[in-house]
Amino acid sequence: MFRLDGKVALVTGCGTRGEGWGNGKAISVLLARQGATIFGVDRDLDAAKVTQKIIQDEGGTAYVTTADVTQAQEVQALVDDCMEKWGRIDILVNNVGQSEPGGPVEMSEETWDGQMDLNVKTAFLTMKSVLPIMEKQGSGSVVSISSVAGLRYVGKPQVAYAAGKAALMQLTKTTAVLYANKGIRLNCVVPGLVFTPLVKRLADKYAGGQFEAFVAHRHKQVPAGYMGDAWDIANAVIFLASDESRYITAQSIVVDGGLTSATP
Amino acid sequence: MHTPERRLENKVAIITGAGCVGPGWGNGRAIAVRFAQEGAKVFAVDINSEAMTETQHLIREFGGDFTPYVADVTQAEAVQALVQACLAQYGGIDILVNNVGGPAPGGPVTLSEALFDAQIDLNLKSVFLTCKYVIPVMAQKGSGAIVNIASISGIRFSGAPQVGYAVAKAGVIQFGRVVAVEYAQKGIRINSILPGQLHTPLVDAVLAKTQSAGDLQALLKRRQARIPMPFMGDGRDTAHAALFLASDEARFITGTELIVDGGMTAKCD
Repeated sequence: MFRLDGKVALVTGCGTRGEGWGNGKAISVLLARQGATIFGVDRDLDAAKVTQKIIQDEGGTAYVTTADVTQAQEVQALVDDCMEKWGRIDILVNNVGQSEPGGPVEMSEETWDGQMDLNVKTAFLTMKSVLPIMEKQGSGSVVSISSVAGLRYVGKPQVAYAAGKAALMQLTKTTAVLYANKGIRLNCVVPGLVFTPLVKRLADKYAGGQFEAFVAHRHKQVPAGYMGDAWDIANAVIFLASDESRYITAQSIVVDGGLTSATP
Repeated sequence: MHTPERRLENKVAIITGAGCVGPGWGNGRAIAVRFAQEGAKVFAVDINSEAMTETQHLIREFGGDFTPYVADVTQAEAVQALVQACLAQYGGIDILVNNVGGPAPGGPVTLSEALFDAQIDLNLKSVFLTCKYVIPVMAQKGSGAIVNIASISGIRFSGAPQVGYAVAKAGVIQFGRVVAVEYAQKGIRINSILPGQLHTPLVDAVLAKTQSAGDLQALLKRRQARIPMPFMGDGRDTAHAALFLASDEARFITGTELIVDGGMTAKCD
């Protein structure tokens, strides 16, 4: 049941900038290990190709391409490309997203718009192009990567990211009801503090480059005493993508080591 | 990070309410069978020995490891004894699934005080008691996973008044969150599954009488009408969610809930 043989998975943000395992890379590799055929997209083609090579070296099947998924035509083109290449789409993973600092006073209107485009509209656009295909197939699973920032203030001002991720969860929930009788499930995975290569860039952006102090602080913030990693996120994605979760739709699985259960 | 061939290999799992009130897939039976398929040693607890016969048959058929044990988990001494029996049999406890529970109909006016107390004991105190005696074992080892089977009745009015059950299940959910934070550093994870209106043997054997004057088909029709997905799940859907949360795949998931309801709680129309 946990296997995904014969299924095609479209993953946005499939590459990791720099060394190590980001969410999109781990998700793509784990989907492939379970037997899925991958169509990966990233704005950074070199990063996508690293993911592709790992999958191919393990004996899996993956095609990767580059696109800006905030643009409707580019999304439609990559979905067409995936259909031409693999003939179907069973799993869509919306993994694109990024945080910019600031509250409503400090943040420019332009940054706000960019954050909405990146964190919400990307999922709207992929759903717009992919849901009709899944509807024709009579089945499909959409998994969008949200964030605990969409549920709580988590220690740094990032108002657009927080609002965008909350919107992503509600987009998922309402669309899931609309498509429930068509065999299509839509859910979110909600990562808490996760130790990925992105943390280095967050330290530069939010902690004046004090990487070690930033990492120690993040570990301490989690009730479990440590940050999760990209594999924890990927495991939850695999579960939601597989038929083992056939009765789960409109939900969010929080993967946070207990972070959002406490207000210390 | 390959997913192992069997996801609970050699783990000892206590599953309460592992029997079933009739043929088919109740939550407890499905969890016991699914866990055993994945290599778990199942220490199955039920108040009714006969209810576990088919569960045992299903598991022994494929050579799974299954130990039935009869106990009333609302009684502290009985819970202590079952924990000791499990340790004597298997030498440890890795997983605890609190699956005991059941609704009694009625709002605050119609539900008797005695039944209200009994509902709290059955649905909530049973979780407190098993955790009371299992957590020290897990804490000593530095690892463990607890899965509580709550209900969407703990977060919504779900079609029939059953106030004792609803508040007890809400209690189970919050119990899971706070105890999860308390024990996070000790390597113990606690999560709740909230099944929606599944079609389990309980519906045919009990709810048709208590909620529908014996008219099962009318009850099923009413239940399906509330669910966005075009079918009712069964105990196997609960079991797959429990398997995920109990396994190491979920090592960073604690203090949260997984709703398995075909989208029912996402709408209020």
